[in-house]
Amino acid sequence: MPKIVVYTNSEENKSSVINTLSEAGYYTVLANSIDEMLEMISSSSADIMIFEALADVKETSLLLRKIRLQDQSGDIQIILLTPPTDNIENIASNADGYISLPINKAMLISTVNSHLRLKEHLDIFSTNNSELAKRFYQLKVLYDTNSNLAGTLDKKKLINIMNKGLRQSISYSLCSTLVINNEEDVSLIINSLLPITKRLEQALKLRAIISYKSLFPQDKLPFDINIEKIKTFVYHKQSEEIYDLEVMNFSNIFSPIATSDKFFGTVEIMRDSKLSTEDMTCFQTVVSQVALPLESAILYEEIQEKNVKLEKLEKLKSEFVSIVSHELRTPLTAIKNSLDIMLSGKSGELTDKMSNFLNMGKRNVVRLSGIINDLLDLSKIEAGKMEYRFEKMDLSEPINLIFSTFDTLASQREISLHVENELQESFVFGDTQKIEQILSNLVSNAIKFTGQNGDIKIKLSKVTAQELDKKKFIAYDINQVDLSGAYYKIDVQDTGIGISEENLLKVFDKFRQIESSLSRKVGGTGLGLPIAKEFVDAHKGFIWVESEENKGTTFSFILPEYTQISSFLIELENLYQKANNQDFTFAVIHLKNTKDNALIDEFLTTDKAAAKKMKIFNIKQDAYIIFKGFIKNQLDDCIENFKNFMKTKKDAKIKLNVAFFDENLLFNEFLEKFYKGEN
Amino acid sequence: MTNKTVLIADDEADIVETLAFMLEAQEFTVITANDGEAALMKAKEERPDLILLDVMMPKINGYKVCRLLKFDKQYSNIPILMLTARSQDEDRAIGEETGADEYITKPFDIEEVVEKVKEYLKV
Repeated sequence: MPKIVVYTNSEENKSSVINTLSEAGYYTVLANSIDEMLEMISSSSADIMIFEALADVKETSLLLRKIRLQDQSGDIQIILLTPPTDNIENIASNADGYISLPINKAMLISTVNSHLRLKEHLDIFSTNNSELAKRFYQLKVLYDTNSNLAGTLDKKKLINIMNKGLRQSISYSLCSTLVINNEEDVSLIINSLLPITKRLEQALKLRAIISYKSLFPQDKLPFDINIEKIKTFVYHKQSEEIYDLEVMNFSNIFSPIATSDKFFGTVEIMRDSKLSTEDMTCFQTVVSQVALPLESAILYEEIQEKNVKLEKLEKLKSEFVSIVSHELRTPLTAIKNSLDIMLSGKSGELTDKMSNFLNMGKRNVVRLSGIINDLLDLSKIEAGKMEYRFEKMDLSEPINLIFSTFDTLASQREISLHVENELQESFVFGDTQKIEQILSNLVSNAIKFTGQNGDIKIKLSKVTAQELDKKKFIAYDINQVDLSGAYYKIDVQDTGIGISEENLLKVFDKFRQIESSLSRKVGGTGLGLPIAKEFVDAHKGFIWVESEENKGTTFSFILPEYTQISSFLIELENLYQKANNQDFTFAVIHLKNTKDNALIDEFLTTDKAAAKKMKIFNIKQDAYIIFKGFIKNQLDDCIENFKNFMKTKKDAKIKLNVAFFDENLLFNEFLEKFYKGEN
Repeated sequence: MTNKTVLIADDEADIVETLAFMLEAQEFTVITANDGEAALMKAKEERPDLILLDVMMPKINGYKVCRLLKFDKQYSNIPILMLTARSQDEDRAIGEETGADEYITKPFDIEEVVEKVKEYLKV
């Protein structure tokens, strides 16, 4: 019922106004004094104030302002009764409506009506405003919740953020969240305004299970939950009162927490005041927002676990080589020693038969030892942990060593073994031990597959890139083969049983043994050639084979001639691989226009420790220095020292650029970056 | 003939036995140790003329024993021949300064080892 407050100076006007309005059915209240009027307005809200203007305009204005201040709702419509005058300056300007005296009844009623309508609109507007404010707040809560959910992969935190979001946007009395990780790990989280009784807790537990079961047809529950195994967590805010079973009668809304293919749990909200449709929408929105992050959180946990396992595996891989090496070779040593002792005759006299079988045992121990070596080599290569020690070396050395190693065996089999080498020198940048291994493998194969009166020739020659036919490199992708400069070629040529054409292609594959009755007697693991190829490749060389059945086979491999540049690049690439697989870093410095190493030698006298870890390559007018084996901090310090030292030399022609190992770059990308240079 | 003493330090009893057999056949006196700690103790107490030292031993590993003896002026002149199974780590260690006089990889040729011992002991 709209309320009208009236105050006039004259009795005549007073009764006129009141009578008219009462007749028209309005609820009208008369104020007898200005103070009473002000009090009425402040104590209870009035819709309309009808007020007779005072003699002084300024005083009227002031009073009008007071009225507005007193009005709590702030929307009171003030209608001023003014004396008849044409002069606007005599009328207070801050009223909402004006009626000229003497009072015209029709005028009064229509003015009051239109202002009441206006007031009504204002009220609606104001309600809408506060509704909007509330919605805006909810939206903000939703937005914040969403941002917070995106910020964590911790499952517990996600559930907490969801609960917080629900609490802020809906102001629940109680929120019950069922979180199911697996059948053994089920939690019920109860967030309540007030503490709850034990029986309410039990009731909520039951209720959660029933609601969960209601979501699925009976035989298709994703998890079979045992109520005894549910862990309950209760949190409450205030504690003056306590909730009991009355909560079950509150307004409530329930939702599963799930994505389209994964189910995480359920959540239910209870509130003593009615939940509006907006509240329900808010609830659905928050709950739907949490399902995806939960899925990510679970995936993240799985990835973490897998990572830990992977790291353990990597460590095991590294240790595997050492452990197996020791575990396999130790008993083998004992067996070999025992056989040797018996064969020496020192543990008793030997009969021929004993000697025969003991030698058989010994041969097989040697064979087993070779297999273990091959397996371990392969294992190291696969794990990226094969170590190379490159240096300038002459190929004639390993060739002569292998020749003398197999000479006796060849003679025993009546095979002629000889070396053909007319070169004065044959320097390459290589790992002597590995080259010996390659040659050993090729020559022992040649002996295995060559019959009596056969011939095996080890030939060393020098060739240029042009003289080589790439088409023969069947074990390589021809497009990737880049030949330049000069190479030293080693051929191991035999007159043995040869290899058939289809087997030729597979000869460098692991675990491949050529099928033939002769070869089956010979045995082996089929690992020697693939390993030999790995070693040749590491030297930036190529290996291939040519053969004709029953005529003979020639295995050939080439290694680049030793030049400063190729050795530098080989060393660099090798280090790069090493640094990728191990806990180790390095850096390269390119010094332009140094002419000679005098300056570098000077630096070395000032920093003797650095000398052991530096390798210098002189290529044309420049020097390339590799600093290797440091821990990162040591490396940075050493490079700083070197740079500072160079700065003191003040030779403008010398330019320096440095590149550090970067595990995120491929070797080629690293090289490019290095050549482009940063000073 | 010769009263030279050889210390065999290895945790594998079979290897110790086979080595001891061959060395005693050459009239050397053999003392043995089963772990790094015992090896160190025996080396210091009995002052052998040569030590055959295995790398993988319990308590203290062979490299440490070798380093400890070689860095001590009192014992640094005793020749030490290390027996290794030749894996990655050991390759690297060989490059480091353990101070061993020689490295023999397993499985070794027992007669060769005896020859080496005789060489080092100038017999």
